[in-house]
Amino acid sequence: MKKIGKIIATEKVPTTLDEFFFWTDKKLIIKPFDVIKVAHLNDSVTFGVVEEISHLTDGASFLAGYISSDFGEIEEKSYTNRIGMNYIKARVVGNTKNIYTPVLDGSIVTLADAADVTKALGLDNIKNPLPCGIIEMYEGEDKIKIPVNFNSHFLIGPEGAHLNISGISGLASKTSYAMFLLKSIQQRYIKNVENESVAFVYLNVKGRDLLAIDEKNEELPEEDRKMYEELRIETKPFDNVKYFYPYSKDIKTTTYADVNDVKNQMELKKAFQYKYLFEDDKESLDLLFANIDDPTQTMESIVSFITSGEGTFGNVTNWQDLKDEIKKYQEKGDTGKDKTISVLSWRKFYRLFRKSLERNLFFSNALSKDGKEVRLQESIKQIQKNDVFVIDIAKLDEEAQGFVFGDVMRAI
Amino acid sequence: MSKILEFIAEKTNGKCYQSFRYCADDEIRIPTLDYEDQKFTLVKNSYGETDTGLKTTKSIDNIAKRIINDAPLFHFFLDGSRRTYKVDDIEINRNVYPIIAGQIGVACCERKSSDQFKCADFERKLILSLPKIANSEPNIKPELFFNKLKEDVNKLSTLTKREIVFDKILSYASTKQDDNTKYEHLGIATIQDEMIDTEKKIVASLYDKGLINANRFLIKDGSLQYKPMKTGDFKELIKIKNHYKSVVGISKMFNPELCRDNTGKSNADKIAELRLFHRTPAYKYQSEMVGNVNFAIWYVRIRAKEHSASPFAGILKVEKILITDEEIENGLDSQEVDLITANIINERNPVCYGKDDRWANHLYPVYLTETYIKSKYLSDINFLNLF
Repeated sequence: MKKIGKIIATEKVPTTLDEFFFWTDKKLIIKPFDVIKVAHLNDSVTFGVVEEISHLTDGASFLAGYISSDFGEIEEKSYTNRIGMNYIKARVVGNTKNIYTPVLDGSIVTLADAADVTKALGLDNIKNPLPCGIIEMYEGEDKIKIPVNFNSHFLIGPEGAHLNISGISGLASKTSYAMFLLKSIQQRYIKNVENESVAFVYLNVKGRDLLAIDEKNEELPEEDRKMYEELRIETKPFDNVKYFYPYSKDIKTTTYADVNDVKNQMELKKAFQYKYLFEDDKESLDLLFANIDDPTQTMESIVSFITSGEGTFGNVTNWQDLKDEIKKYQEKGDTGKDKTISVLSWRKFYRLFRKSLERNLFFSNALSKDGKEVRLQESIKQIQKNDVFVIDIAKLDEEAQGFVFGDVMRAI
Repeated sequence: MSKILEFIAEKTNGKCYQSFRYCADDEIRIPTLDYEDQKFTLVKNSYGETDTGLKTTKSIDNIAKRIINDAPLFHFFLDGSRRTYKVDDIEINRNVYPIIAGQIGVACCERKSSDQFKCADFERKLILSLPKIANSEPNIKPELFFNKLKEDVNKLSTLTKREIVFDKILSYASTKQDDNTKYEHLGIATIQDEMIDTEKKIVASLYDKGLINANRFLIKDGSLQYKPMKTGDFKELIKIKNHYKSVVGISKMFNPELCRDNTGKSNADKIAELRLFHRTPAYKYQSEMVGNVNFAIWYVRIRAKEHSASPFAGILKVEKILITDEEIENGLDSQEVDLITANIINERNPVCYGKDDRWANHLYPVYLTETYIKSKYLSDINFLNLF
């Protein structure tokens, strides 16, 4: 492999078990996280990952640089450039013979090939491999690409189920990567590998981000297409997708999606509007108050009072009647109400409930007969393997989002 | 006592005293400035260049600016240095003489591009200098004796286990000297001569290979006025002067008292007053020491006076040997003098400010060459502990 430099160990900066420094030509392009290898004792190889790259010259001070430009002439030219080099700090990630003594001064540093990098980063021998991306290293003719796999049992179970994606906000890369990974998961499991199966529930929380995931990308760049091929992932969109939009008569009040798109989806029976009915969903009333501070648990007491049909709530059959009934409880005076819950609490509860009821059109009395309106719990309970449900909550307010999210989680 | 000194004492019928060892460059320092030039004779009423009408200084600024984007004239940079040490005293025949050791480093670096500066040739030598009287076999030539002694010294385990080899054992005059001349100086002088010989050898090598020519000049750091030596392959400058067709000697430190115009009057004041990027006329000089060799010598200022710590800071002395009969007769072509000067001006940046007090007079490629040589020396402690 290409030789790029030599190890430097000085009096003040020795090589250690964990890190080492090496010099390279100042024009060599190398990036943080690139893997390099160093010949070490007993014919072993130590692998390192680039952490920091510094450029050094023999200039004694900033003043020397200024003087070297004829005391501040920007256009000054010279026949000789100040002697300089790059030195790179790398972190040790392993050794082929488990020799962890520090690498020696003067040892030659080279780039690694794909097999070396796979080994160095522990990417070989992954069980239950699930393609999760490609690592690119080096530049120009030295460039290599290494497909990376996750162990799917640690990604979506049964061993574990967690993934953390970090990135700068606003670049739309975190969501894109999550979707790519989910696509990879669906493709793997749709082939019914080893009798394992997966279903997907997405919550769309921003704009129209996830409301067209079953549509083909006609503008997929060739470079991206090649990457998919290398990972053996098809460039098809998601299969078996259904969309669930919060109910509103004009559609656009409760979703950022294009109305015509939603209507088309509905015609194709790919999209539905979801509602919450009193009789079936009153038990979920507590989810409306999940984000409300309730240190004395009075909201919880009221919810419990209502859902158990205590007092006059046993006769309520719809959301409007519920509201009216709560209103009575917030009035002063001895009206035979439960005296353990104060009037002030009832007033707070009424205020919050009324606000939610008025803002959220999905609190309804009945579903339409055309099958275009559903209850989320019912739909989720009927989810099949490889189904992808996209539940849109982007345009709902914070309390309503919490309500729907909680309801979906309970259903799952 | 070390094995080397024991061995030398045995072979020279001498007795070593285990004297204190020290670096002679620091300890035997005569408090003068390190001028790089020597005494020489001005050839009166003659010119070192063809433009005899040039009576005052001349600006080379425009020429320097015009050629800055062209390929530079100077491609090679030669520098030599030595470190000397007194390692012991040896008594031979009831007289006590110093044993001098030295490290010589001579490098020629090539600038292949503005970013590529590589070593073209490098020699490092370890030398010992003993009094001539140390030759315990006067019936054979001293060179043979000391050469054999060197080979035997190099077989000692002290050196073989460190993979260190002495290149030569030289000898200095052991006859009684006047009060002003110390044996230490004589010993050091032999090592200095060896260094100069090595410099000449490298120039000869570059010339023979055709690496230096009219488009690829060499800057030699210091004066070209080599005194004739009694030994060595390049004893007399006059015989090797052709090697210096494309060589220019540049002195950072020169003795102002030796500055003369072509009438023989001192022009040190005019040199000190040189304006930025101006040069003096080139004058013809002949050095007593080097025999019938003529030089064109001129001065150029490469740094503004207001940025200089002394009147001569930023001024370089430039020497070129007059080779052909025409040059000897008429001096150098003034256009060539201008071109050489313009290239020197364009070598003024970057600077080694903060690293070397001589930064105002030090050309960066020469500084790099010097730094390269110094990086190749054994440390003083390492070297002294060989003995």
